[in-house]
Amino acid sequence: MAPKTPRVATDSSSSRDNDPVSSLNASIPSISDAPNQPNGDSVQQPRKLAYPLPAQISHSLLTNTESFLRLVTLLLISAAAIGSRLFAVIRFESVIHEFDPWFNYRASKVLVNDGFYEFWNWFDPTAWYPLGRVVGGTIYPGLMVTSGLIWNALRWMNMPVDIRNVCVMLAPGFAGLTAIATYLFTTEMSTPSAGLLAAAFIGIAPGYISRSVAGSYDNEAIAIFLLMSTFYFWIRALKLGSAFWGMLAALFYGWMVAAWGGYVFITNMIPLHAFVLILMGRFTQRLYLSYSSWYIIGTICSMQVPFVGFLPLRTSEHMAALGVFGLLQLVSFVEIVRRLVPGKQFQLLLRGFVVLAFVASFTVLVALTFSGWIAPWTGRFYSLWDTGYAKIHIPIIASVSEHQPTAWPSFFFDLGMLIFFFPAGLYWCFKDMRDEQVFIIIYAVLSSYFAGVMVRLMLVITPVVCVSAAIAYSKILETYIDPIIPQEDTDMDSTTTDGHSTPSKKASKKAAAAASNKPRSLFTGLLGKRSSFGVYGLDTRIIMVGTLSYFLFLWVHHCTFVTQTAYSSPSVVLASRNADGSQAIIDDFREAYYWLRQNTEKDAVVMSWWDYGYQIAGMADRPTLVDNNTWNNTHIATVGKAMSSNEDVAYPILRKHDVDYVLVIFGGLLGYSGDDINKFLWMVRIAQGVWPDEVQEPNYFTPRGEYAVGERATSTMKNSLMYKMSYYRFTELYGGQPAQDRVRGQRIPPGVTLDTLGKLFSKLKKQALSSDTLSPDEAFTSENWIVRIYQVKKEDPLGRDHKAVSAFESGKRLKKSRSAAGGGSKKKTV
Amino acid sequence: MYGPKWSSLSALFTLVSSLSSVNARSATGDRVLVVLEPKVVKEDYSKFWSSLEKRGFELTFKGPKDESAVLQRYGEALYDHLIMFTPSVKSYANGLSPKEVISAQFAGLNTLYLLSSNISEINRDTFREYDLEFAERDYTYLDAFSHSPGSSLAAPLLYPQSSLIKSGAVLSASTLTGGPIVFPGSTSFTLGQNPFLVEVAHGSKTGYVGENRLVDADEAEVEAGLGKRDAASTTGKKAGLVAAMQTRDNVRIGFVASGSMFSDEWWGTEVELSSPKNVAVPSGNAAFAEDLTKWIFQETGVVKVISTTHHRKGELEQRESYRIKDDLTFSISLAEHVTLPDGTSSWQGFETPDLQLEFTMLDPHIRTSLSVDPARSDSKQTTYSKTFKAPDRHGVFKFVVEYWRSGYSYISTSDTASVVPFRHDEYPRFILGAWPFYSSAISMSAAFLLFCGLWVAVGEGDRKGKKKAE
Repeated sequence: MAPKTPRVATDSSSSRDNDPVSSLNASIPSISDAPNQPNGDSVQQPRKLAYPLPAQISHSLLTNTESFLRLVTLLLISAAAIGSRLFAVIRFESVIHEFDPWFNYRASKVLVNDGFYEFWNWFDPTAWYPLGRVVGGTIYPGLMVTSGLIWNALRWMNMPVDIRNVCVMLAPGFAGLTAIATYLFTTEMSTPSAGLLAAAFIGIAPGYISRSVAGSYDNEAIAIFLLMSTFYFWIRALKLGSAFWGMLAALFYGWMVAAWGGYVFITNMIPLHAFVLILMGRFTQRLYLSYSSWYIIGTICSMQVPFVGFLPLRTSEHMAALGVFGLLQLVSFVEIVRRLVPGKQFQLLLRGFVVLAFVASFTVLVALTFSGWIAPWTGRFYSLWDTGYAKIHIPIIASVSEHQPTAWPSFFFDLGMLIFFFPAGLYWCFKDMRDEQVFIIIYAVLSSYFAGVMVRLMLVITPVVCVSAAIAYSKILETYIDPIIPQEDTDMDSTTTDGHSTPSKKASKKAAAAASNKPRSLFTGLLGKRSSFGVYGLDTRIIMVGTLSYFLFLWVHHCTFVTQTAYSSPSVVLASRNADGSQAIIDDFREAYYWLRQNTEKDAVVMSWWDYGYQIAGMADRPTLVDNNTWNNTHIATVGKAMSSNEDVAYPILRKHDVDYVLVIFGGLLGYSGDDINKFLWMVRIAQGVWPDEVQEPNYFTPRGEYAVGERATSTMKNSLMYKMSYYRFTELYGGQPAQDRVRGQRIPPGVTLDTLGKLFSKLKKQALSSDTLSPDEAFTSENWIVRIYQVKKEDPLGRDHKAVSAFESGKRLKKSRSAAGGGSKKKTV
Repeated sequence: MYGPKWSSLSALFTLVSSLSSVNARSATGDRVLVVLEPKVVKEDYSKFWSSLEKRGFELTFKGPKDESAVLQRYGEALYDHLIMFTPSVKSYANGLSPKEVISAQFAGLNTLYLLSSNISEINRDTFREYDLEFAERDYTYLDAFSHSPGSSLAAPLLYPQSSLIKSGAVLSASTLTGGPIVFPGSTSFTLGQNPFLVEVAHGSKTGYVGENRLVDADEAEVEAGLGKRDAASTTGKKAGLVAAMQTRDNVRIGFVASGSMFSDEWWGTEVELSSPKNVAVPSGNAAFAEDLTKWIFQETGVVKVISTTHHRKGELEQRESYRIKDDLTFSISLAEHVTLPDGTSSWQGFETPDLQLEFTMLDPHIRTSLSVDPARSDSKQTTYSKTFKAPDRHGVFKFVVEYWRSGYSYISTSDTASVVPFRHDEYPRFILGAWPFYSSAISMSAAFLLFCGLWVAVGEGDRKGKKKAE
């Protein structure tokens, strides 16, 4: 497949070479369509062409070929979008990736196996043990329902497909659809050729691929398609003033709400657009109609999702939409009254009334918020404005790597050259500022900010960057491919008023400056005789078009490279290189999860840090204490406390929660940096948030402020359960010598002991008693030591503590009785 | 000695024999290993051995350094009970090392330790694992006031009324009110905080622990000057003499500070009391020994859980999950192991007034008493049940019954069931509080219909009407 993908990519880039033709052809009708453009004569006039065009082709043939080519190109782009996302399947296998997708996959299995109503009412007793999770009411079901529908449709067509394959291929499939939606959206903004470019850009932009490779079965996989479709229908509704398109926008909005929590972006984006239009004095009946139909139907749709419920009426995030809806009613009412009642003063009064009503309702809103009727902004939202907020107040949010502020190189990494063309496209949007261009501008401004605040929101900026860059690109290409050579003697006024054909404007200026009668040579500039510049000759055209095409090739190359190296790793399976350059697959996660699945009781509770909760549930099918649905901070802090405390403190917590196995991720042997010791400080911080007296972050740092795990590690660090579980028996690999931790680059001294955890085995065949003795081993350690699993020991049958038990087991004799020594403390008899 | 086949066959045999309940009176098995140290003469205790054999136990005698003494082989226990009469042994055969013994105890080996005032270090260290601290070597439990006139201080008499402790089912009522117990050559211990340890007998008010030798005034002065040991390390009731431990897994372990109290010398004989003089009464040794071994070898005080069930009120089928606010019924059947007068044993119902049920998720959400359900109780079992309303809280709950009474087996059961919220179609459909919403929806629909009707009736062509409609 590796050789195939570039070919697909070149297909799409060659399709861009087709673009100029279509853009040329498309540009002619678009100019003639534009209002106030009396250029019917320009078509009839004999024009000077930079290169010959075939003349005998009929107009209908041209348009037919053009639309056919456009269709083929679009389909090829879709195919390329799907194809480039298949690296993960080909490199590894058809497997669900990462963390959240495992839950979505599990939920989808419940949906297709048990039916919709069971899914709707699904209470999962194995998650958040023992609290359980009301799954039906705490998820966005759109993704599972979508794949369930596809699965059922395929079955109905007598094509039984494993639900796993539906889940794996859902993201690429919807990426293909996203390309089409983006085409439609951009076509509304600009020309179809810009639409094709935008489709091609979004099809392979790494910023979007990062969330939608095959196997990345997450909400975002379908959300971007729904986002672009909703925006398209909204623009369409706004342009036509059509309740039908508004309803379509609302339905897709409803689907989006069911699919992704990021729907709030649309919920605020569309009202903001409407609000800005009102402020710009562009209130029209079209706006009123489209917005009202979108808001009413969309809100009703969104309230059908149990997880959302009455949020659209009760939370600050949704108040903008409601407020603009109210404002539109007011403005519309005033417009009607204004039409009926003449008189300037009265109109002023009306305007004042609108402002007053707006202010009054805003005050009511604030009052409701403070009185508690409307929930204030959530912490997640605050962290968008103050990037330090989450770290202080909600460490769980801050602990997620994808919630960190974006580093600047990732803009170039994820968007490549598009980031340069993005402002240029906005410039053209400003120049040609119809209602829909306003939308693009608002979208660009908002998403630029959000993308800078959170890595995760790179996903939101990607579509607008693609659209905007495509507009810029197609404008430049149009300018340089348009074969018409500007006439020097053309009427300057007619061309300068032509707001669309900037090249001809420029050219005409140059032409006016140049001598009028001289015969035009084929070349201009350096090669030609004249030192003027402008789009006259083929040389500038070839240089510009060549450069731009080269950029496109580079871009495709960059995207392919980024996709295959950075974004196609399933993260449940790791790849590394052997010394001879061949690929080595590190499959420790699945090894460990399947060990759990096959060697432990069905109801054995596994404790791990929350990152691995979904994977354990999905792959090992065992109850977990906490998982990636981080709804209960206290429960997570409990796990954090158990991990960061010493054994005496941790053991009662483990027993209280019926924990049978504890799982840690340890990368020290292999150099896998995403391990639990590196996440450990977050466990400490989260635990500290709930138990500030018992867990203190400074205790885990050396006096010099280092995060040390070697010789200089603090005693709190060395006694913590996490440290012990990670490094237990690690030095045995090095023959008892200090062991090298390859992640931290520190030497681990020997002498890590564990009393309460280990591996239980029964000496007798009968299992009835809890009389299993402890062997000094851990229960399981995967091949590369990435996953280590420990079994929690039961209380000692004789009532000793575990330290005493291990001392006895290791042959030490007790020289002093624990509590009976001295003969003083006599136990009270019962 | 046995191959695995033989041992499993013998296990099968014991199973069959226990089912037929001819001989076996123990709830767990009959095979007893007796380990005697060389100093102990087996024949001196013949009455004790024969009493055990009469109760159906098969005794095997071994020495402490006998390498053929193995407690477990190929994952099978070779013995069900163990009597360790090895107080002064300094080292053991591999199969009898403290580690092996404790590990066998984890697997169900009931053990009786018979001791003397001469306890070796290895035993002392081992007993510390049970949280027992023994008196120093050669320190003996003495009582200058309460011993037979003919015997020494070191053979004191323990009166059941003052020295034995009524700890549940360990000692029978007749022993607790019976004759005095001769307790010769005994060491003593103090008990630690271990909750599984129960003291069965302790010293009398006049007893003390010290060296059994006469010290004249000069010697005492010299020893005091040298800072030697106190004359008495422990006095009165603080001197523990017999202790019983029931581990978390209901394995029973007994510690008798004087092994020689089981000797034939005092077995069923009469003892002369110190006061009133010249009165001889039957000694309580035999009765005490029988009671203690019956308890340790799982003949008395053995309670088992036959079954636990939970279901919705009005149903019989057990479910994995219940809904919040469901009425749930939980029941548990208990039986106690009893020995009938004819020497056979069987299971009977076990009645207790204070059994409790906890409905727990992290913490008990409901704690309620369980009462006897006569309809489902018979001679073989007693069934307790309770119906209660599930809390308005979803999650994974456990029906927990914990019953820890000294002398009886610990009852500890836990059944898991999840409590789930209402399904989407289980909520009440029409509620009073929602009428404002219903009425607004209905009135809105009606108004819309009216509006449409007016619109159609007045006509689109009429501009005036259209404007009014707007």
